[in-house]
Amino acid sequence: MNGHAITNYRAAGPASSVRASPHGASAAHALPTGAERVLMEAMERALRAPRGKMALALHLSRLRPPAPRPHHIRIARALMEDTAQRYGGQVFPLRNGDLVLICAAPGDEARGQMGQAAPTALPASLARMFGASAPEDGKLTTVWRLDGEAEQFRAFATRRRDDPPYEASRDDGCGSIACLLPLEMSVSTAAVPDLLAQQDAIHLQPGRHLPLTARLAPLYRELTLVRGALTGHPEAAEALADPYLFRHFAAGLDVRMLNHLQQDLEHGGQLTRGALRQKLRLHLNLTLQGIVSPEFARFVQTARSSGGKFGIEISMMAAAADPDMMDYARRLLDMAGFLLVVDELDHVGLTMTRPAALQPALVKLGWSPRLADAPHDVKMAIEGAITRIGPERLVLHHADSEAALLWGQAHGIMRFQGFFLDAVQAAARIAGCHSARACTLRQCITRAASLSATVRVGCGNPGLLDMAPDYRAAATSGAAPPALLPASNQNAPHALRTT
Amino acid sequence: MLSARPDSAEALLDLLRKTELSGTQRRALLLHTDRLPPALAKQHHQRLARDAIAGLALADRAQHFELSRGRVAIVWRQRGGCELETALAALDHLLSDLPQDQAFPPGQLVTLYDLPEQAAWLMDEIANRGGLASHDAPEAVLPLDLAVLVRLEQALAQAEISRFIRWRPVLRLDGGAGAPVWLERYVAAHEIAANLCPDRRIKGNPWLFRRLTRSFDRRMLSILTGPQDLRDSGPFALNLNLATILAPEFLRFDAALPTSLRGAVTLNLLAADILADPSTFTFARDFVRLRGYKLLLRQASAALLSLLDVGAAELDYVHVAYTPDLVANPDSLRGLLPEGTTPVLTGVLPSAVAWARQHGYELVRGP
Repeated sequence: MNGHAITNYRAAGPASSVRASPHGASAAHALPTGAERVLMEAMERALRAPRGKMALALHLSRLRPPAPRPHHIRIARALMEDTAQRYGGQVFPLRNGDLVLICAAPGDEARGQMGQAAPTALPASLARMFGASAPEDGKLTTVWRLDGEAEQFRAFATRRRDDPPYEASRDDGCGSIACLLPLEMSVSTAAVPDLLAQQDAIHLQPGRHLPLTARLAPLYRELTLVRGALTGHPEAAEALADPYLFRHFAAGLDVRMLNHLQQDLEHGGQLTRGALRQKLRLHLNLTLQGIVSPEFARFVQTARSSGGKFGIEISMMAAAADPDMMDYARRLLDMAGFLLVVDELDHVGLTMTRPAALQPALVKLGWSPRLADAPHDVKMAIEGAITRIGPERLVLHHADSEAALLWGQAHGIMRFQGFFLDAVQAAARIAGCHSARACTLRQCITRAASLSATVRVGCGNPGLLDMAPDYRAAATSGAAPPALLPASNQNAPHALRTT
Repeated sequence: MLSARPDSAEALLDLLRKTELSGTQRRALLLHTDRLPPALAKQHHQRLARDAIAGLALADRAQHFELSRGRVAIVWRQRGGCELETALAALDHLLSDLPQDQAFPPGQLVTLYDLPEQAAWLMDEIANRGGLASHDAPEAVLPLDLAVLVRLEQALAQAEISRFIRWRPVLRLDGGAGAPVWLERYVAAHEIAANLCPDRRIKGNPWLFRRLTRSFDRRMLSILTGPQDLRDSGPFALNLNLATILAPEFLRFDAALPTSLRGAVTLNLLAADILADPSTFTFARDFVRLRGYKLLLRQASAALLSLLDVGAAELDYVHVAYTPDLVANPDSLRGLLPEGTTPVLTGVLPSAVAWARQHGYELVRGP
């Protein structure tokens, strides 16, 4: 039942919204509509004189979520229409977000003149552009020569009637921001715990023959702004897709969070009590402005007398936005005895930056399946970057699957944070909790992540939510690993033990 | 306290130009009261900092200038005298009151300039960082906030901003005075702000300011897409946000770009924009390269280039500011600029051209 809950959670993501279902129940009765009908008619016209013509399909619907975003479709269409104009062709946007170009196929001579925009060169150009979110099977485009592959193209066009429609994801923060005014008011007045979430990271201990739960040691607890608290309204979600606006809100919370945590430390409050008792380092996400603020200086004074351990997470973007202030902030952290953690590095940023130049204690790399299935040259660049940073300094963040743990260990990374570990922790908590009979794994995960009293109200043992669990108890009960694996991994529940 | 009536920032610029032309040896001190650490940011601290340098008024032919954000510049003829040492010692004393965990290096509070050689740096500081708002204008004390930003975005959606667009040439040092390679086009943000929201420091909130520049981008692109603007234009560069490159306005601009300018337009980006979402950056980069644009990293310094691998980011140019730090350590960029990435030295006046040549800079831009 617990596993079922996780499966639903994963399936609710944007991946399902854009994927075609060729064997869907309604497929046999679907009729071509709009764009698909226009494509079919144009195809039949082109096939009446197929010599020297070609078709190219750009499968944007196969991109990894959150792609395809509106700008992906907009720009790809502009590029293909430019080629269509030069080669007497036409572009057909399909309802699932894919684009099809039918045009004249250039000879070798013309191809040289057109360069990368030639229809035959487009697949390589598009593959490079979309490399960061390339489809899992690598098939971003399909090309048909109409004088030899007419039937294959006809079969493709005919099947398009079965495609589910493309559900537009958020645009790029182009809309009005007036909707954010009430949100700003609520961020400045809401109870601080309602705006925060917490998540524990773990350090995977050596011991390949031991069960996973016997190898987990708590590493730190991160307090972070709940994006969901800001993006509840669709318009707000679109506006906050702008990274600058999101950081404005985060910066606004810095001062309130620091003041609140200072009081919490002084009075042994719920936000810091669990970490202090277990001597677990507490990580805060702060902007540079927050670190140089008087509130931070006051927080440092209280933190020192509390005997707790602290780390401050700063994004590479913030560091690059103001390297001088970053340098000053780093010295303040040194003097405070707080660890510097570089945050928000993704698989592309990893190979484009040198986070070690900031001399951080830890660097958080966001997990993406792209890390594992990138082309050979990108893989080499990723491995080079890991070596330069040092795998002992890397934390694989957003580790939401067994694949993430396997990839991390294969690259010497033993520190992890993410949903998969949240589930492991929740299972261990349930195994050791006397009030957990009616609790689902999902409920326990949600309650432990939240600092809001209203979310935690159903828990009969709330003190346990803030304690890193005794994993050994869970390991001996045998409750954790099989129930924790996402549906796709249910067939290999012991893979981690043999890594 | 400095007692003589201070001159305006315009007068300081005038003096700097005259110093450049005449070659008169002077020194200048710029007191950045706006950089005082939080614990010393109260009004009386600012007054103490000003009092600390008051003795410089006794130096030979000292002139006192009030700049925006409470900053003060003093320029004097370079002769003997211990006024400078006394002033710096007084500032050290002021900063020594800080708690240990807020230690603040005195070097961040004052900048010293040797004129005329370093006049360009001071002019850049005044012209590009809001220094032209003199003591006569009311000081904007409130930072930009969301409500004002909403009103600004609405106003800018229709506003005619042609008169706020500025050009400055990037020159190739080829033996003579330098030949223009392209013109850099940008929006004078402070001048727009002085018109639309004079009581706000628009860079007071860095995140909201970055958002505001997207409105500038859109207006500039819509002006450029007009029938006249691109027809007679030579090569040029634009300061743009990454999000603007992905917006419909850029596609309209790209469609209007004459064939003669294809390959002759450079897009200038900030590092924060690249690192906010590197995957989106690589998509945008490969798109604009396909359309023949070049990419430039703005505001690069040794500190930034040690963080961002411009080779891996595949950038064509970087702006490197001509600063006292660079002059003191001209090799600080060595190893950080790969083959294929060309530096453009910015903030360069004629007096600094020889230095630029001597250190191998082929492309330079003024303040």
